Amino acid sequence: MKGMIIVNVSRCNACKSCEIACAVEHSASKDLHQAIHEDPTPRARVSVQQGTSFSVPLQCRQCANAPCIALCPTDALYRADQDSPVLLDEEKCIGCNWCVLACPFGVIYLDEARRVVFKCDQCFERVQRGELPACVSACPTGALLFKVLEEIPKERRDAYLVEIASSLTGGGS
Amino acid sequence: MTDLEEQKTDVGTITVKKPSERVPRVSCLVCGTAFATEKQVRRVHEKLHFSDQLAATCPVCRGAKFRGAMEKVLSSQE
Repeated sequence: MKGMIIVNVSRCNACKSCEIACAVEHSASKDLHQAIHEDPTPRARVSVQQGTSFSVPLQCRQCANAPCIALCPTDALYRADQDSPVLLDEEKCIGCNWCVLACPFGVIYLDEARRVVFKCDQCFERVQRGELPACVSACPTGALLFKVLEEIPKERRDAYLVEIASSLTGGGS
Repeated sequence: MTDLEEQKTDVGTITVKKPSERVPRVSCLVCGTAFATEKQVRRVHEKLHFSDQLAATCPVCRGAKFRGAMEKVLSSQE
């Protein structure tokens, strides 16, 4: 099942519940009270960015032709199958930073202390169990939604991508 | 044949990297923070076909740029 985390920006009030839920989900204990005391401190894969008029939770966009996978020299970044999100095998990661430089959205981060990268995996295991990604579950306002790709009309996806690409290249919308 | 492939086929020589060698890092076009070596920026540009500007922008500024683009699109939809 190919899913996508959708952001409804008008509903985001930057409470950062998604960041906390993400860090807890990726902790060893998966419990908030214990996660706080874990070493290394669990890190969030989603980052709520404050804009001028909106707050936007940013996480990996799970690119179809992921440049991070293309540049990873150890195959630490991979897809379990063609519909899976981009996953990280920490055992293989050497912290070389290539994927961080390759990401056009700046949503892969390097853990300097452990010399491994961390990125959103769309809570792959949770989704496999039929649950929602942790950030989506934790969002109190419904700003984050998890949609199966087929539920979003292709025309709408294409139109959005064209607008984003146009804005990024300075062409206006 | 790429440099790496050429090196691999040339069994008569080996490549030795100097751990003590210091390489300058280039600054981000947007914020000015040093973030990658010139060779890294060039490889990202060549291998991924990123524009010169995107390849020379640091990951933090790329995130900010993406956020800005989203804002712009969403503002126009309101």
